[in-house]
Amino acid sequence: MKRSGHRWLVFVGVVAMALGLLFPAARNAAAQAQDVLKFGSLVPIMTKEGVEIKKWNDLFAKMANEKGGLTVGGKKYKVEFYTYDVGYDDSAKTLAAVEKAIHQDGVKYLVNNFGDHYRLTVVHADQNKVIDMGVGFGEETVGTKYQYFFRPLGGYYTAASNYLISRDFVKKGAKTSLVCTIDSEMGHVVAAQYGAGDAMAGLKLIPPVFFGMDTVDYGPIATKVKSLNPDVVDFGAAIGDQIVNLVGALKDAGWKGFIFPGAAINPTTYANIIKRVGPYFDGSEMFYNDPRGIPLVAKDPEMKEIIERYQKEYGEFRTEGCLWLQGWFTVKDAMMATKSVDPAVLKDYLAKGPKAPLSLSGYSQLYARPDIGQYRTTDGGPGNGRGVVKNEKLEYIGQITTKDQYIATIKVHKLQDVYQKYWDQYGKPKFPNEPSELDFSDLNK
Amino acid sequence: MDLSLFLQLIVNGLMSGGIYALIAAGFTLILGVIQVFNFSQGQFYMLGAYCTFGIVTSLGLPYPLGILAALAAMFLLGILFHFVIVQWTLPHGFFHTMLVTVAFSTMVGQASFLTFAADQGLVEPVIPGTLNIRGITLNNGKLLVIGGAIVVMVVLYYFMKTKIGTAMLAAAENKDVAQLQGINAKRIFWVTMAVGSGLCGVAGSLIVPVLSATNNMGMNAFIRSMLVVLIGGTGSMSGALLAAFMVGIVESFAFQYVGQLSLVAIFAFAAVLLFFRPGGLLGKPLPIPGQ
Repeated sequence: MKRSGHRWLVFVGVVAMALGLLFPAARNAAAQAQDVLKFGSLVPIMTKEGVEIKKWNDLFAKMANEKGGLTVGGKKYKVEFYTYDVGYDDSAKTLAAVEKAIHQDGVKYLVNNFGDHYRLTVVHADQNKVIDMGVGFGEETVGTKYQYFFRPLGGYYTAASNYLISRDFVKKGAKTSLVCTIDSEMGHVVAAQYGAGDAMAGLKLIPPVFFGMDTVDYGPIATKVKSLNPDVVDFGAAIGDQIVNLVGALKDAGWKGFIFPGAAINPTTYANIIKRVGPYFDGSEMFYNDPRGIPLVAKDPEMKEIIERYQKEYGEFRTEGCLWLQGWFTVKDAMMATKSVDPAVLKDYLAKGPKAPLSLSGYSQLYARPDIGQYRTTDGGPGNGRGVVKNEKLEYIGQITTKDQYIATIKVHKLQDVYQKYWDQYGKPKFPNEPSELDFSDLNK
Repeated sequence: MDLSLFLQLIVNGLMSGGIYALIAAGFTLILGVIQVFNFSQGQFYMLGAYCTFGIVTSLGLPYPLGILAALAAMFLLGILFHFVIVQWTLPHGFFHTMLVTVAFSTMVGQASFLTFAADQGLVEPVIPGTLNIRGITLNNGKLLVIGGAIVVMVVLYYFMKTKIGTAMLAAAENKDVAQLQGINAKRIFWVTMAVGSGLCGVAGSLIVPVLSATNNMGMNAFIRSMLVVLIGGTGSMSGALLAAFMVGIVESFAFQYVGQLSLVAIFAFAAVLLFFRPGGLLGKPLPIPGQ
C-alpha cells in the first residue's frame, strides 16, 4: 500500500510536470504562428542613430499593442520588435544577429536596418524568405538575384538631394564643386553620385579628394582642398567627427565657399561644428531631419500622433533615428494593402509598384531599375527635408521629394531612353500627392 | 610649386608633427626604460581626451583643470595597468608583454565603443582663431599643441637627468646591476609606466579643443606615433621630436600629391630610413630578444 501510494505520487508529479511544460509551449507556439508579428532591426547600438532607431522600434510595437495589436485583414496581431546590435559594417556581428533573428527568434520582417553588413543580411533573409528592408549602395542587392530585399531608403535614386542643394549654391554664384570624402567603397560610390548631382546643377566638377578613415590631422586635407579652389565642398559619406574636423580645418586654412556636409550629419555633429567654427558654417545646406519642422510630416495625423507619443515616452525629441524608419512604414502599409502578413505575398505586392508610404522624413517610393534589367520595384527614392544654416541655426527651406529623386537620377545618368522603353511597357510611377521641383518634362531640358 | 603652398605644407607638417610628438613622448619613454612595446598607449591618449572633455563640458570646470585631471587619471591608470597586467608578463619577455598590451588595448577600445561611441567630444577652442601670415595659416589651438609637445619633450629631457631619471636609465640598461647599486627597479618600472601613461593623457587633453575626441582616435594616432618612435630611435626624446616633425612633413606633402596614399608614403619613408639607420635617428635598435 505504501509502495503503491508512492508510485501514484510519482505518476501525478510526472504528469503535472509534463503538462506544465507542454501547455505553455503549445500556447506559445500557437500564439507565434497565428497572432504575433515578429519584426527585427539591425543597428549599431554604439551610434546615436542605432540607439534612436531602437527607441522608435520599441515605440512602434508599444503603440500598436496598446490598440490591441496591428489589424491586418480584420485580424489583430501582437507586434514584437527585436533590435539587434550589429556593430558598424561588422560582418561577424551581422551574421550572428541575422541568424539569431531568423532561426531563434522567428523574425519574418527585417526593417529599419542601419549600419549592418547588408550583403550578408540580404543573402540570409532571401534564403529564409524573410522580408529585408535594407540599406546600402551598389546594384547587386536590388538586382534580380534576390526576391525579398527592398531598399526604401535609397542608394541610387538620390541625385535630387545634391542637385537641389547645388542648384541653390549656383544661384548664389558657385561655379565649381569638389567632393571630399572617405576613401572607402561607400565613399567612392557616394562621390560619383554626389558629383553627378552637382554637375546636373551646373557646377564644374573638380576631381574628388579622398582621405583615410585613420586620419589624425585634417590640416593637409584642407590645404589640398583650398589649393584646388572649389566654390562648393561636399563631404559625401564622411561622418561625425570627420565632418567637424573637416569644417574646422577648412576654416583654419582660410577657405571660403559653400558646404554640403553630406547625408550623415546628426544634431551632435551639427552642435560640434557650430562650437568649433560658429558663423563660418552659415550658408551651408543639408538634410533637415526634424519631422516637427517638415510641414508634410508634421501635419499628418498618424505622424503627429507618433511624434507626440515619442516626446511623452522619452522626453527630449531627438532626430537621429528619423531618417531610417521607412522600412517599418513600408511593410506596415504593404500588410494593410494586401491584408496579409505572409512575406511571400508582401514581397510580390512590394515588387509591383506599391503606394508610397509616408515616414518621418517624407514619402519614400519603390521603383524598378530598368537600367540593370530589374523590372520589380525594389529600389527606393527617399524624400527628405532640406535646410540652410542661418545665424548658426538650421532652417527648413523645402522638401526633396521622391519624384525629384526619381527624375533627377534618370537625368544625371542620362537614362531617358532606357526608362522611356520601361514606361512604354509598364507605365510611369504614380507619385504621392506633394509639390515637386522636377517633372518629366525636365528630363529633356 | 607656389612658395606659399610650399610653406603651408611645411607648417601643416609641423602641426601634425606636434600631435604625433605628444603621443610618442610617453610611448618612447616606456619602450626605452621598461622595454615594453605598449600597444595600449593610444588608448590612454583617447581616455585622456574624453577625461578632459568630461571635466570641461559635463562638469563645466576650467580647461587647465581638465588637463590636470587627465594627467592624474592616466597616471593612476598607468600604475594600475602596470601592477595588474604588465609586471606579471615582464619576466616572460618582450613578446609576451607586447601581446598583453594588445589585449588590454582591445579591451579598452571595445569598452570605449560601448561607453563613448555615441558621443563625439569637442571642447571649445582654448585660444580661438587662426594666425595668418602672408597667406600661411596657423591654427592657434595647434600652436598650443606644438608648444605643449616641445615643453613635454624638454621637461622629459631634464627629468631624465635627475636622480630618478638616471635611475630609470640605469634600470633600463641592466635591471640586475641597477638593483645591486641600490636602485629599486620595480619602483622605477611602475613610475615609468605611470609617467608615460600620464603624458598620453596630457596629449589627449591638448588635442581635444582642436580635434574632437572619438573612440577610434587612439589607434589612429598610435600607428603614427609608433613610426615616430621607430624613426626617432627607441627611448630618445629628441629623436622622437625630430621624427614626429619629419613624419608630419612627409605626410603633409604626400597628401597634397598622392592623396590617400600618404600613409604608404610615410611607411616607405620609414622603411628607407630604417634600412640605413636600424636604430633610428638618435636612438638604439629595438630590444628584440636574441639580437
